[in-house]
Amino acid sequence: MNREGSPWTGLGPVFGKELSDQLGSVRMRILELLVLIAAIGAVYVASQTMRATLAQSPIAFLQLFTTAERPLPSFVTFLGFFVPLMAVSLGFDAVNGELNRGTLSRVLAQPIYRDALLMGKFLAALATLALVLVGLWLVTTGFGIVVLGVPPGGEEVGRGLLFLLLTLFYAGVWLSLALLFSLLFRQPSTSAMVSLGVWIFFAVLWPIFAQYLAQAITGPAFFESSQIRQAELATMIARVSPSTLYAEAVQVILHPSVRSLGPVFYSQIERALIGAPLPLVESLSLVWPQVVALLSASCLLFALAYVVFQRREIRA
Amino acid sequence: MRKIAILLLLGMFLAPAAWAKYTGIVLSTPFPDQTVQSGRTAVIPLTIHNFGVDPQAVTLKALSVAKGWTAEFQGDARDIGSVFVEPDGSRDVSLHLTPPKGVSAGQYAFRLAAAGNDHRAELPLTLHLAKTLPDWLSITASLPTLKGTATTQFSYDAKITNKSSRDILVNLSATAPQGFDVAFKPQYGSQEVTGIRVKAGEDKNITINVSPPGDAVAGAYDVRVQAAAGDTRAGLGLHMVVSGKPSLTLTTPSGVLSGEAQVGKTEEVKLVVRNTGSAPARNLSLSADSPSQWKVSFEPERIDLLPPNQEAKITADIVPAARSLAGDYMVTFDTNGGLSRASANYRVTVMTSTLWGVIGILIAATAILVVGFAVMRYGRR
Repeated sequence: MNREGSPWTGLGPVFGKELSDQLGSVRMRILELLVLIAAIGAVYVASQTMRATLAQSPIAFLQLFTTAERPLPSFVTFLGFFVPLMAVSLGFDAVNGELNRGTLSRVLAQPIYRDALLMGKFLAALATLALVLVGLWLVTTGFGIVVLGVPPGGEEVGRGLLFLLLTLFYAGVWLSLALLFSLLFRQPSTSAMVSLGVWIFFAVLWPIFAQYLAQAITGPAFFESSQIRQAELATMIARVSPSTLYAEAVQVILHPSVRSLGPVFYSQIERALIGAPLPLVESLSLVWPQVVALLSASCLLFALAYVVFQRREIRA
Repeated sequence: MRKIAILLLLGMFLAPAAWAKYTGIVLSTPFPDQTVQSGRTAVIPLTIHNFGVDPQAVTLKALSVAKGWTAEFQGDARDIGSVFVEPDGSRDVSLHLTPPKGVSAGQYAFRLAAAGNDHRAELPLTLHLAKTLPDWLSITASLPTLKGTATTQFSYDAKITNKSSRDILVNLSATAPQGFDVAFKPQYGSQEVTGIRVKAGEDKNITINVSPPGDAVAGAYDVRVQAAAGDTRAGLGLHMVVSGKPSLTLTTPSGVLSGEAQVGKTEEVKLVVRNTGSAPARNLSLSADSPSQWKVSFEPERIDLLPPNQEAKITADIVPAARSLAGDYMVTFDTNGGLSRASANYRVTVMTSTLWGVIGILIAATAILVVGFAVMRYGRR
């Protein structure tokens, strides 16, 4: 059967309602407050460290995000931790919550298609995240201007915006996943636990598994060449995890001097100017696979959730 | 015998007394018979003495003058006709004897007279004209020919000899090619001097420093040094051979020493080799110090001859290795001409291929298309 009518019908109202619900929810406010405090703390400590140790650096604003001072992790590490958490908390009960409350059939009784409902929920959650992230970025940048006393350069702003976009893609992956689980499981608590479990598995356990998996596949590595092959394989396996992809991408975007990910041959760094910043375009092209993978993963997961939702009997 | 002895003794006592009692006017010159340089005015010092006579004006006259010569009396730089001498006084004047043009060597006799009121003195004077006088002032160098480059300071050791019986002040001067700097220094001193005092019968060592201009063309140069004391001169010819040296610089026409290159693709870099030295550079070879798997070639690979103040254009083709990382690498271009070499550090920003970027966009587009397809396929009413 072919569909009739536009999938966009009703998207606007759903998006608007969802957005106002998300922004007004106590859950989001608590998370936002938590993120804001953590981020300001990290950036403040970083700025103190930079003032004490660094001379004027051309990438001072990027260092503001990446400098870590014990015991606080850096701003970027904080975001890498909180963004999946926020995405999951925005998505884990998107559909099954409504189903349990019995509001889903009512909404669908309106001239709103299922497409629009799912798309609206997804986009509203993403917009919420984007609002939080942009706000956070503006606050930290403004803070940086006050503390460092210089405005950020064009390249720094560009890299900062790319970092934002990247974080949004990363959030999109976890949001799609949580949305999918909210469809697969009837109970919101189940979908929340499964989402968080998957996140912890990929963020914490998978990088460790990747090492052993690579060793198991290639066997013991005695020679340099097989060691390199093993290291490359481990990197490739680790990249299945969105957390690894995001960490790599952020590392390259926020550190202009990073020129390669994974093992590097001596012949490649011979006579290379170590520490010379890469042009923004080159940094982007270096992490382009990661960016594309994150974007594609969120698209495909959403497509999967969409298919599951469309084939589900929801009136029961 | 005794009488004779007494007479002799008496004579010894009496004779000075008799001289001391001489009265009258005396006209004298230290060397009444002397050799002078041909072709120049001879200056003869004269002294008029008044031994115990009344103060009076004494008229000076040249009684007889050799044919064609002119005689002038001068005192205190003015022409004079007479001098005034007080009792037991004396007055120094000089007699300028100017020979006629084309005078030949030989002997010329003059007769001078000084006439006072009652007394009169005469002085015969004989001049021998010689083509050349024996030198009493000379300047010699132990090593008059030196070799060096345009940036060398040529240092000559010279000796000024004064064979006369007077202390003299020797003025030093030099004529050198344009741009050459000549300085005179005492042998163990650092001050530059233009003159030096040499005692009678002694000699003085001096150092003559000649600095050619830095861009002096290779070749032989002569510097003429003159030492002058009064009207006597001595010359010294110094010879210097500037061997010249090529001096190379390597840069790009615009002076910008950085550029971009695509991985695996040829990037052309224009280079300029300049010879700023004073001698031609020969057989210049070009090489590059680059990451080991890069290819760098030059067109032309070699310059046979690069004259001074000329430049040669070279094209370097850089091919970054296929596995190069994006970012900055240093390539050092080097030109070597044996005597002189130059190098330039060129910073290459390696850009990676945009092919993967296009593929990535295609993959992302496919993912979005999958969503679109799902919407088309599974959309329900």
